[in-house]
Amino acid sequence: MSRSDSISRDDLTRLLDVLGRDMRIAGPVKEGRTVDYGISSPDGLLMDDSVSYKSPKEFYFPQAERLMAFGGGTAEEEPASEPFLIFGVRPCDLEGLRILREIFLSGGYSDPFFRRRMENNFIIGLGCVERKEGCFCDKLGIDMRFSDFCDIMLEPDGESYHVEHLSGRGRAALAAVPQTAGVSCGVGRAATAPPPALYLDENADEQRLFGVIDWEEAAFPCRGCGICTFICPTCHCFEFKDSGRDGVISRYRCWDSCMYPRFTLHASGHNPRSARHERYRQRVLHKYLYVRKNTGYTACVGCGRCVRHCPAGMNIKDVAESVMEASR
Amino acid sequence: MEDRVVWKRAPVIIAFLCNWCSYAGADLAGTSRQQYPPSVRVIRVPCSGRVNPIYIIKALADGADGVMVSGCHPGDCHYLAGNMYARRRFAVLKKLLEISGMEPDRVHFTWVSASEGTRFAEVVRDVTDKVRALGPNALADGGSRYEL
Amino acid sequence: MSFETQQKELRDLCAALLRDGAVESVIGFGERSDSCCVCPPIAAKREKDAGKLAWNSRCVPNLAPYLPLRGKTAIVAKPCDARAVVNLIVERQIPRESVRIIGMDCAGMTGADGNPLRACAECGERRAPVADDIIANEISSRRELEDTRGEYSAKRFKDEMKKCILCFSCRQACYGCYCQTCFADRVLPNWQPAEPGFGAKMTYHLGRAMHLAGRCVECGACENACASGVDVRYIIRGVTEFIEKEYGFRAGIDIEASPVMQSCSMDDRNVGFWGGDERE
Repeated sequence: MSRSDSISRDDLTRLLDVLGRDMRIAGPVKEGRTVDYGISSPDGLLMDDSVSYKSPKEFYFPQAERLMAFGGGTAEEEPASEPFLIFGVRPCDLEGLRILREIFLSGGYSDPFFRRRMENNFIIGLGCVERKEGCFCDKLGIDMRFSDFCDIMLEPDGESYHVEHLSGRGRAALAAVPQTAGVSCGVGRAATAPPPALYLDENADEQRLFGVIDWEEAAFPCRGCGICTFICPTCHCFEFKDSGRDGVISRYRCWDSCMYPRFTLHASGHNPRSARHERYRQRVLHKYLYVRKNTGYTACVGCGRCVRHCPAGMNIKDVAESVMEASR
Repeated sequence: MEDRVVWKRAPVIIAFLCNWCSYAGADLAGTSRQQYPPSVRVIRVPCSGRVNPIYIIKALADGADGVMVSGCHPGDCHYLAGNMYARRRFAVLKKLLEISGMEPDRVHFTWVSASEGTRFAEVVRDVTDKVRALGPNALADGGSRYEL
Repeated sequence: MSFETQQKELRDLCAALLRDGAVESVIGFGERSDSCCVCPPIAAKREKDAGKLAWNSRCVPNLAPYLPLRGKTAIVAKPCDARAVVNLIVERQIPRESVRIIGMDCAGMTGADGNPLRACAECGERRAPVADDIIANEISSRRELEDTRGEYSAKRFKDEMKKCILCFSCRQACYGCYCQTCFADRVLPNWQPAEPGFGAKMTYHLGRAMHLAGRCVECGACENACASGVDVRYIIRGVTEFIEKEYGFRAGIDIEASPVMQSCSMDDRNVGFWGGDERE
């Protein structure tokens, strides 16, 4: 680690000031009793080790996104989003964004709204100093200090930060500020984390996993509130809603949650997952098996948000571990 | 609140009137040539007990400047006690709106019998004056649905 | 007396109940899986499961929504849980004889940081008002109750609504929200606008507060469930206080009561009515 790769907090604020001229800056801010991502001036951003309760996915995949408006014989698509800078994204969340990109942009269809946001965003990652309560990224093969899915990666080093650029945009941004002009490139650097210890065999038989543990007992505490899916960095299910006002219909894409009973309700009235434990099982297996079958990634990054915020004290890590052990 | 209230349109007041008393009262106000402002949009309901508080909340969220609900006087309900269940509900709703910072004068409940055309006109005049003094409903986002 | 002695007494009692077949299951709290978690609700069905029941300062969730289970069920109840169960009985959601209330004397629960939960800091209830068994605990130091009522203003309401993400966790955690289809989920008519803006949040929170009028037992499950830190309870609390003052009713205290909003009287006042508060 050479000296030029280290920047002080003041220099970091200076860098953000320069970048903030061209784009709006979002990052972790204190909101009453919680920490959330918000639009802020560089001074208002939390640069310590506090973690926001929500994941940064809403900047790419907003909770309610107007896709188009029609009515009165015209239809228009929403214009492209403005450029954004997101500061202080943790390695687990960066890996979560990588999984979302895989889901939204690879395969047969590439989502234009997600893609435009991805192209318009500048990400500054921030490594964790210590593992928080409830976090289990180590079990999923994620380095809590480093991820290369960003433009600039910062690692706290006492009062200053070790900095690396991981994209051309990142390098150009750092070059614009004298204090950070000479930092080195982190491309190709491997994350230092043990291989994932918590995963399901992607060839596992789904029907068998339905029976390896008592899902009813595992899901007993669940109230079906869906907060786990709202704050999860990889949950990505959505529904469409039309909202009419003054003769103009707006079509929104809104987050949905597999924990809601209406999620799978058919128009006929039939519901293939009518029981709560079936919905909980779907959430666990979707994260650990189905996405893995489709993309190769386990769609859980161990950020611990659902563990910390579950009002019924449920722990997806314990459930996934018991499924893994029982299916061996 | 701003010092001077600016209206670019007439105030819109949604009035839920019970079929048996207040709607007939409004009718009587009309046939007996009582003057009152054209601010009310009447919605006839079977009974004031039929008015779900969410109707009122929704009207306000959608940009109505005021809401009034009127039914039979207690003891005169066509369904015996519908208006008395409504009375508790409205008392609670009014309190709730007060707690959430809504101007109390936007929502009014009252009793108007079928023979009280004069009272109906008086209520509408007074409610309109009170709502007009408050200014347009700024609570709903996206502006009022009734913008002209 | 402490949590440990209460926990031992609770386990012994539940083991006996399950062994004798007095109840088919016990809804209680299990051991938490991580220090940041609350104790998850569990259903003990066999005598040996009674040893899994936990009682400590993190037994936060309200257990009443887990009723009813098949057969006679015992429920480990904090005073607020017991009130919720009583109100469910009052509202004819569960029959009295299907549930055995094990009242746990409670000095209030704490958050992950060890500080008392906001609802608990405001609560003076130490013993279940209605219970079949009481697991007593001498709670000597009666804490000064905090008054966090604050001012009622449009600004406060809007600031709280700004934080809300409309995930409806508060509804799911609430014992009183047992409607098959919530008005917020209805499609025809569609009360909730698609945009998660102020109008949608106001409709949901005020609508829900109306539905909970005279039914809230002040357990704080809504605000404990809220990941966004919204003070969802203050509006309902104001309504609860109003109903207690105006109609002399508190939910979940009297098992013979009739629900306050499903009752009426010629003697009610015209509170907040046009033309004044006079009696007709």
